[in-house]
Amino acid sequence: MSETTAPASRAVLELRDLRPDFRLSQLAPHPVNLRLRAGECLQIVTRGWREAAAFADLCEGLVDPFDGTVLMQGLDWAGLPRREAGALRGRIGRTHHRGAFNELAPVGEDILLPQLHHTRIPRPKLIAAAEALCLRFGLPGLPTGLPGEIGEADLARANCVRAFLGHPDLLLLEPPMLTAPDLLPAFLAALTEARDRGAAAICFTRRLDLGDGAVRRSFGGVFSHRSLLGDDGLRPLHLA
Amino acid sequence: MSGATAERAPLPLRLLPGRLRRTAAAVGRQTRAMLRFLLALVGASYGVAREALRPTSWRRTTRTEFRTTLRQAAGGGVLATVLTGILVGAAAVAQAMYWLGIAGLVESGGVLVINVLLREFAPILVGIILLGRSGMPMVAEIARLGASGRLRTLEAEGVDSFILLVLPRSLAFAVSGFTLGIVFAVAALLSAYVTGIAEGVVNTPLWSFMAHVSTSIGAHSYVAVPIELALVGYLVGLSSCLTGLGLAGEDGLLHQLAHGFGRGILTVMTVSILFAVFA
Repeated sequence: MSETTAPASRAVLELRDLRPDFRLSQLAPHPVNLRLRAGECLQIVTRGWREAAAFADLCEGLVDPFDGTVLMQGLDWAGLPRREAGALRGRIGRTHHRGAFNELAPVGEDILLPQLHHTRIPRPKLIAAAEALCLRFGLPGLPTGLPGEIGEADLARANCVRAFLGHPDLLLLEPPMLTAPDLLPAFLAALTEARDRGAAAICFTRRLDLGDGAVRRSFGGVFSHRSLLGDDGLRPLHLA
Repeated sequence: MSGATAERAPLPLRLLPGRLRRTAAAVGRQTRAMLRFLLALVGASYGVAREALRPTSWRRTTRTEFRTTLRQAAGGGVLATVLTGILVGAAAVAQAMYWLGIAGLVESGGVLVINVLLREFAPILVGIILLGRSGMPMVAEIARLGASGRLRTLEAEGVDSFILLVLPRSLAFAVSGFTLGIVFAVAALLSAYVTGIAEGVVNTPLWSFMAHVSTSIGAHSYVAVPIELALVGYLVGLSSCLTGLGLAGEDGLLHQLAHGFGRGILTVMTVSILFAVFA
């Protein structure tokens, strides 16, 4: 486990004897136990983005498990009313592989949407925060074009901006290793900063991407745990 | 119906011969599909009423969506409504004068024409304008959001698509229905007045004509017509949202568009007939 300056007692995310429902998530129904505290970062190696998205959906309480419990900040998703569950999901920053942006709306509006919906932070202040993150991730400013007018690499940057905007308590991330490899340093710096602030994070990486030695080395000191999500559930891996 | 499904069919259906059983099953399937949409409409209306009264439902994003839809549906439909009102007003007066002239009832025809224009034509035509100009694009837009996975990611962001899309859009359609209905009525009456002057059947000043109109409309119409206009708009908006979301069970953009149009027209006609009979 890597060292961190954040308070590490509170469990941000906890999976207790969780057995995914194969019909709903396409994940193997093996029991999963996981306790992710503030400031911790878990790397989950998956076969592809579908497994990663399905596991992230389970963590967010979007898919009912066959058995077991998922707790976010001590609250069981299964017992939460819809409105409260929505508010709690507002504290999660996530990158999406599919359906990340509304094809008919400017990307900038989609970046701001969750914060505009969940908070009362004035819009100019939100725009300023989003612009600062955009510059950090290599965008010239808040994108005003439609997703179809913006390149894949810039969409990956915008995806990261939205995930980190608003200082979320939990981050469910797919590092943009292939779409925008030059984004990695900024991504890792933002991730470390979020951990220092007390956020917990899960980074999903594909086995394929880990074949790249440079990528593996860049990630070396970031994760506190590593696990492999396979047909036999979530298995811990030794840190490199 | 295959052997396996025949086994699962209710007992009275199992007693029927093969072809009759298949026909009964097809009729039942269609009836259930129609009822499913009606039930979805009733359930969603309850949801809209409940959420609309909660101040926390009206977040910035919801208010922005309401304003955008209102601008698109009401603002964007004004020109089409004015033109339709002018054409319908002129055509209604010209036709009425011709047919009532044959029957020798020209003098008493004014009240009839005005009532038909305001109570029958306005809700139906406004409903069709709303459906074609704003409802169908909305079906396509929401269906696209669903197909691209954006609705799912909204849920993952904790943004309720009912609060973000269905609530503000259906209420914006209700306001648009009322607004466009009034625009239609004014345009149609002015057009009817000008046509009446040209035909030589109206020889009073405009203010006197309008005063005659206002007295010839029954008192209950001042309540019933605005409610009908708002209700038509609301139901067109809600049925378009539900069809786009695929809540009534169909898949595929083409199917959703076809269903959206059919349901919208059916809704407009049903409301109009119900108000014509009971209001």
